[in-house]
Amino acid sequence: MAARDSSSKPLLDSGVLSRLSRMPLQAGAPMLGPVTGMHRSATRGASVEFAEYRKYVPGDDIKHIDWQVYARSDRFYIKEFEADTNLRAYLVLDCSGSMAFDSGHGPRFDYARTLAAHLAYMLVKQGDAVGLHLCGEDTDTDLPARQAPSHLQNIFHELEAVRPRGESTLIPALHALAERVQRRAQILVLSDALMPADELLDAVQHLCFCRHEVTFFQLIDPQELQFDFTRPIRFVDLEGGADLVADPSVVHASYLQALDQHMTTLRSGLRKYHVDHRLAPVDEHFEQLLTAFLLGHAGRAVKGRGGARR
Amino acid sequence: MTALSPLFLWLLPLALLPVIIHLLNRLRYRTVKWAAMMFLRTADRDASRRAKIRQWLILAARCLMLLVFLLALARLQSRGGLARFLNRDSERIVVLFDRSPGMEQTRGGVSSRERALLLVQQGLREGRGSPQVLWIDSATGERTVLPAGTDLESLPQTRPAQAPANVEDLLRRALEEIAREDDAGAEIWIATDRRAASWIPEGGLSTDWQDWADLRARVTLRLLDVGQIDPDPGNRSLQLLGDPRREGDSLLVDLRLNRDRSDPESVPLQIETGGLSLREDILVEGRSFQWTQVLPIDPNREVHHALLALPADSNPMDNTVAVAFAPRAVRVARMDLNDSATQRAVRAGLLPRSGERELTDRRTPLSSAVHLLVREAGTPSGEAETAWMEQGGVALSLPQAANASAGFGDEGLGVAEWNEATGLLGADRAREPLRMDLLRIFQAVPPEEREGIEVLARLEDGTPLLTREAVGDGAHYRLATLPLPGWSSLDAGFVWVPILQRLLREGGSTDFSQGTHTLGTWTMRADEEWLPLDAEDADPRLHVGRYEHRGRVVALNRSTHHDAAAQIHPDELREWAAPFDVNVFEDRSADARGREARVELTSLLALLGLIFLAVESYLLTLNIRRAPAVRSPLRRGGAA
Repeated sequence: MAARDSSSKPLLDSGVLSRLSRMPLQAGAPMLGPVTGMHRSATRGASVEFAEYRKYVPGDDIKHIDWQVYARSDRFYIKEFEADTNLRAYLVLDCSGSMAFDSGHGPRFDYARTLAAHLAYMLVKQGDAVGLHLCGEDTDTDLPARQAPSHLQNIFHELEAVRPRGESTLIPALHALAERVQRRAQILVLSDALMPADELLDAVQHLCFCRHEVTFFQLIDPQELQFDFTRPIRFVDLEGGADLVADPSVVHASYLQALDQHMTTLRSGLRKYHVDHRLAPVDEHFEQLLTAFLLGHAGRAVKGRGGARR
Repeated sequence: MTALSPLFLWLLPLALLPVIIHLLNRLRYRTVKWAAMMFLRTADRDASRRAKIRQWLILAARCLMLLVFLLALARLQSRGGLARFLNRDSERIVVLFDRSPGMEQTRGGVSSRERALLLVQQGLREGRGSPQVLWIDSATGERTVLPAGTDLESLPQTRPAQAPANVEDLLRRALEEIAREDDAGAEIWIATDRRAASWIPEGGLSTDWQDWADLRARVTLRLLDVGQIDPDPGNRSLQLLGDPRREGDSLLVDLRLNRDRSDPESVPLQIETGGLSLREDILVEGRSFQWTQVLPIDPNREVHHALLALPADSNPMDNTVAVAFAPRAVRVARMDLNDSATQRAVRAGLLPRSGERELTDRRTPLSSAVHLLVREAGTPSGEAETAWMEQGGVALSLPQAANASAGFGDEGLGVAEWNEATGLLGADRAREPLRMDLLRIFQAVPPEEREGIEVLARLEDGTPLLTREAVGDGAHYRLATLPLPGWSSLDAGFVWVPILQRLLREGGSTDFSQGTHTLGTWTMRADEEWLPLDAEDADPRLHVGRYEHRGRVVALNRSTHHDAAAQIHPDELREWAAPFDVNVFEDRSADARGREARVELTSLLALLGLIFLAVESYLLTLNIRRAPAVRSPLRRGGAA
């Protein structure tokens, strides 16, 4: 399944996909889905995995009565099993102008696009439904979550065609997504988070309130973190704002302070809402990010099975 | 304030160079497309006020540094209070006062001497503390300690004189005085019009001020400069050219009249001669007019003298010429030699001529009538000989012929070092050098070298060939070889004859028998008697005129070398006085009164510049407190 981006670099890396094929992307929270899938379901159903006991009530299927428990306790108890279902995931890609930033490690948007493509592929391959929402001034692409392979092609096509520009519309998009997606889903947000932290956290909170599982991939460039300029620079806003002439030696300390404050706010806020916050430096290969993400989710899924509550 | 080098004031706008460079750098910034503008705007808005102030302080420090540097180059001078503030206390002030004829030149009705006197008075009045004031004037060279409150104008040492000034000599006397008294801090004030002739003698400087460098830390030189020599119009000066000569019943005197105009005019010349007072109108053309004045004389007399004077003008000190004519005195050389060959060589070198040069022997007693003594080395100088030298006699010691040594071979040695410009071995009046380079020395008995003996020439092997020892007003020369075949090639005459003639002339230089002499070229001894024939109070050290001395009439004139109006620039003065620093008090006011002392601010400005440099360096290295790094480490691909 070939997918290429506009720079003629393929969207998908077969080597990465091959290495990550044994690591499924598992939902951390129980999902609600119409189809039997690999993810935990919020409901109890037919499965090979025991979940818990409950008292027999008239009408229960007696084949689920645990006779050994009856022998011991002279009481009737029904075995409950985990119900596996498929995952519905939505990829939300920030297509604002700031995503086009490139300090020499390649445009940040290409990184996001590649990451999104691999996530979509893995999800579809494991039978999950994937939707795509592109947030940008000029774009409002909203592909519903589907699990058909042909749908994957639609996703790749949209990823290749979109260009980052203009101001960010991520926050209203997240709010709208929270309202539109009725059933619990996994929301994978890919953005540079260069927007007011409070407003972004509000949107994330909205999603979490609607019981969606949110993973926030924050794509960041090392130069934005270091701000290692020496001479006065004319900074041109990628999102079309006013230019600014600044002397780095004068603003360096204050810039880092403002950046640190933003990161701290964002980090603590996302942690509060139990959002999986992934920092993605664009100077590193996305495979590391994906591997850590998949492993992290596998761990959370195991924990969830061990103590899941209805 | 004034500036001695005002040209640099035009460069003051360069002090804005750091600001211009700063602005140009801002214009040349590169453009970067940036995503995290929200942080940048916050940072720019909240950019540490301290950091911005620091940037402006650095710029200001750089601008001020350039400004004071340019002001220092312009040699800014302050006046009044600041000058007084910068004048440091001194134990002693030595005033070197120029009272040479040129200082009588008036400008605005006030002579340079009067201006200098006012400058000294002002400086003494405005100075701090109560230093001892030592006065050394240019005419007599005598040192006089002035009590506090002395009225300088009434001091004889401040009155005009016609003797030339020699600042080099005066400064050396002042330094000797300070060194002898071991003053902790002293100032030397040189009150002069910067006439170049006073600073640079005809024969050039002979003192190396580096020899006095150890006094530099405690001696301050201050030049009380009376400004440009811009005389009042109408000044004339009269110069005597050469010696007068007799032709029959007339005395011919070559004269030159210099003036500041070129149109023809009739100038009255007053002549006092033979008891007569005459006047002759000279029709003068051009700025410099030469003519031969014919003076009537009594043919029955041998000695004739006259005083010629122009009318008084803006400088009355250069209007008079004294003339005296007498039969040329015979120069006498005495030989105290045993070797006949050497005697013949001396005779051949002196070329005795009746009426001009005579050669005698031991039978003539050493007196003022003997001018040169040629003697054998190794024989001790008796008391009479020493006393004779001290009176001005010149002795030449030659090795004894019997003391021949092994020699330097057939080729002999050449002469390696000698002063080609001045002195006994220097070029003659026609600037023809003495051909010492052609001499070959085959045998030599080198004279001793010790302190007080000057080596005038050395052989190729470094041994002295000719030495000179000053003895009072006279000198003792010692030659290492003889003008004989086998000893040297001196007998060829091209060096031997000039040496002997010059020695004879030197020995006779203190004998005022030739008629006319120049003030300031000799030192009058306390026991000498001089009877002025013109003004009763005339002083042979100070005044042009006719005097009776040792039964002869002597005419004393001022040095025409010092009539030249060329001035030495203050920058040349600094080079002249190095390693000493020269502070210039300059008087530029038209009115000599009400003048203020000024002092150069170069040192202060340099200090300010260093302070600004230190401030700029400190601000550049100031450790600006930086915001803490982003606290959470960047976990690669992991959760934040």
